[in-house]
Amino acid sequence: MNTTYLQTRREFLATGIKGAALVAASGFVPNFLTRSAHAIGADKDASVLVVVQLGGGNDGLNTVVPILDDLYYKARPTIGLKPKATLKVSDSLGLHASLAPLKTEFDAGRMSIVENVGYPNPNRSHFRSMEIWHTGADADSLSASNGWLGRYFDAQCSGSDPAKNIDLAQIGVSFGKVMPQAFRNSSQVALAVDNPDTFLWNASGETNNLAKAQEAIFAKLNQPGASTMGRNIESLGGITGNEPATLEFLRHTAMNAVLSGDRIRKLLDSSKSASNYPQTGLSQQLRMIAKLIAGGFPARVYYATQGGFDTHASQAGTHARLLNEFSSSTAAFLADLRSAKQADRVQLMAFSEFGRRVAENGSEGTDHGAAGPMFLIGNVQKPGIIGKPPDLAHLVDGDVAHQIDFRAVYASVLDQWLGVKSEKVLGKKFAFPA
Amino acid sequence: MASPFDPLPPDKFDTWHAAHLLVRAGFGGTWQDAESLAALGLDKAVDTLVNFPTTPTPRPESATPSPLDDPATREKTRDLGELERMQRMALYRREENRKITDLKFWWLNRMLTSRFPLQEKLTLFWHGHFASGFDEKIERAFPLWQQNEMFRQNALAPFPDLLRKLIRDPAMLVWLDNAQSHKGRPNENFARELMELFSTGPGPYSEHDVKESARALTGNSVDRETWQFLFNENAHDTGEKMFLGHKGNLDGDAIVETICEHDACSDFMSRKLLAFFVQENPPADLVADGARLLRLEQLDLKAWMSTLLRSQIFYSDQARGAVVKSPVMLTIDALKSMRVPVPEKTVLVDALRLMGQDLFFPPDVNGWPGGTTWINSNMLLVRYNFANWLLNGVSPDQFKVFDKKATGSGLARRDFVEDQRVARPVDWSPRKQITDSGMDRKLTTGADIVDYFLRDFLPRRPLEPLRTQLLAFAETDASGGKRSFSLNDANFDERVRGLVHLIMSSPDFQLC
Repeated sequence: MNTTYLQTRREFLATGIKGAALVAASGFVPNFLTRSAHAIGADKDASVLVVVQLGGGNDGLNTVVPILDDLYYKARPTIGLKPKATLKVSDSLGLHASLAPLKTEFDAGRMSIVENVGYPNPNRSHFRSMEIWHTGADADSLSASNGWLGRYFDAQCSGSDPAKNIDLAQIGVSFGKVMPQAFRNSSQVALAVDNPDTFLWNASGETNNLAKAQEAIFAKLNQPGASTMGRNIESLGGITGNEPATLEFLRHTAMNAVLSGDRIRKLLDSSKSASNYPQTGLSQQLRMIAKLIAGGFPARVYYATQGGFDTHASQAGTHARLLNEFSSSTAAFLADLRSAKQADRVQLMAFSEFGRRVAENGSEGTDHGAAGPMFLIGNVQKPGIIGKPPDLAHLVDGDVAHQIDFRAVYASVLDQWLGVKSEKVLGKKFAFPA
Repeated sequence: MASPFDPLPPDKFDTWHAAHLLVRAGFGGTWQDAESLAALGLDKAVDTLVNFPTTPTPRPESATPSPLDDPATREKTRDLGELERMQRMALYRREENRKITDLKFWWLNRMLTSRFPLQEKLTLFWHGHFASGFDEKIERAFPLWQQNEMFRQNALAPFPDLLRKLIRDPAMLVWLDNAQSHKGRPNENFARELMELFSTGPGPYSEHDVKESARALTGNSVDRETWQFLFNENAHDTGEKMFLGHKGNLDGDAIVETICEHDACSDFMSRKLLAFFVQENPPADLVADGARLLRLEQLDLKAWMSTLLRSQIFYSDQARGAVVKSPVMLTIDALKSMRVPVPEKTVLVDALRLMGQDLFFPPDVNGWPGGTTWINSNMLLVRYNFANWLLNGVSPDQFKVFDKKATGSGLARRDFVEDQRVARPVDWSPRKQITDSGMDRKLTTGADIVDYFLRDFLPRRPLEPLRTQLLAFAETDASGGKRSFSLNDANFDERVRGLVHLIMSSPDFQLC
């Protein structure tokens, strides 16, 4: 292998044809597809939801602390947070000190704290409970495999063909290797992006002309609707038949990926972030999301994740660090959006698959629990505290009972923020308790 | 009445069918491999796949207990200063990381070279079904190798036998907390998954059954010095239990027996096996037929698999291209088609992690969900670019060679392992392969050459648009014009690598 040649090829690829041009080169692409691939800035007014998943089960009681409740201090003799150590948001509730950057948002009326969110028959397994939150299914009937946001995507795509409308295909963007189940949909839309720099197809032809030829063929092979069946030159031992449905799913995914990669990189390269983001994983994701929003990328939903909340042992230091990462990254994100004049069209929703056991365990940590707080941050409909402080006198199996169904929170976001009828997405009406 | 499990008429079993059998019951192969298998005829071909040895396989170098568990080592390190002892322990942990990476390559090698590919395919199936992982609780290579070897030796054992081995498997007992489970305070983690994920699926049992089976499984523990099964009589609850309608002083084996008698067990395993070997989301009536057969065979998996691999449904339209290759399947399939060894000490294992299947590191106890969840925009591009690395050594940034100088001396744990890996491509000469197999005189036209490689890499069916397009690429000259393509071409190997890169970057190659 000639390394000089490889170097040249790489340089060529770094500046050469990519996504849209690659598709155009196939000659098979409907015009409107290539046009919309260039048409950055599709809708700069649409509302945007950013979901932040706090994975592992965030300790809600040490996040929003019931500072007047003796039962809290009795249950947590070593890890309980004293009233003075918290940031008061009401007579009876104080935020963990690491949430100081978010306290500013709360005070400015840009944050809702929804207390005791959960669901009936709580499941204490990480992945079951996560599945319940992602699908919006009842705990005892996990039949849905599409996600709640995926069903929102399907509702938005109904009546149009996402293969011909790249904006629809890019309606959701998640950061990370895996697409969250919440995004799983039937319209074959939405993106998972891990490393935007490598979000492209690298040709390998020996010369630029050959690379172009190869890229054109690549685009044809991955063109939605480009059936490879039907014109068999030989039959497989008498077997003929329909093309597997998965093939079309793969073509959609590939084409969406190369076109989006092009568009995403262009937006990410185009500007510097206005805000000083801390050096955290969540920050990296939120910084990219802010750039895409400011650049008019058509996604209506973004998904970012922060993990590590499964604090079974010696949790005090870990939990403080995790909440600090969450709050400082989120605050930087909001500042960034404000300076780009985009803050008004963004709402961030943070959730965790469950809260943690009220009583601390023998190793200064907490085990899996049930209900916990959710946060809505940014342009929110009802700032302040929603719901009552947790009722520690009436626990369910040692855990905080839920007072607000998580789907009622989803419903309000769908109805009032994303502007879609929530019962269409969630299967029925969910309302906050009076 | 006709059943989908009725045998395929033997005269229909041709090379295309054999290629399908190879990729599903193994990890694929070349067209020549398929021809050899077809020559045996259906019955003998299936027999050679299912009749694998159940004796131990040679122990790989890295399958050794860790000094971390050796009392003598611990004794010695006790005399060291605090700092030195910590350093020593950190070294032992890094060593386990290196060993588990070695084991990944060792297993990939077995998948590629074993004379019994179905045995390795099933070992991979069981690894995903009875998932245990290196991280957090185990962090030792030895117990995971033991478990892997247990799956291999019992890959087609009667299902009850397999479950009896499972409830004694040290890695599993530690990963799902049963090793610490004690009468009076039983840990329900393993007991719950034993039914929910491993045998019946949710439905037939109540929370009470979970609690009672957890009591029955107390005492199934592990000697943490040797990582061998240990029945801890003091921890075992000998009281009366009531499980799925059975009452008595039940132990783990009694739980297994009751589970296996339940129809939900044969239903659940029929669905899991059909989804892996026949088609994603098998229809309900097919699952029911499979379950009936499983009960008829008294959960004898070897008999069941022998019937399946001969069956009409296995070779049917609905099964063709109905499985998404997992990243490991994709990799081994490609290496087999190239007839090259596993590229050791390379970024291959990093690539597998990026594609979403890191052996010995399943995402959770549910294993890899598989099917279309292998595919999203990110992972599909990684798959396509993985092909470019394999063929050309052109790596996306993720596969960059680790640069020791850039990070100074403070090597992180993972870096220590990656330090040894390089992004060099596999050593594959298409021209040499053709000459070696004596095909050089037969491949006279560009179309012959394209067909030859298509059959090696994608023998599922002839793909007309793909074939024509590949030929057009082969016949493109350096300035973008047309020329003829032959074995005499100066850049023959590079051009074929470009062709194969396209084949591997097609949606079709992702399926089998």
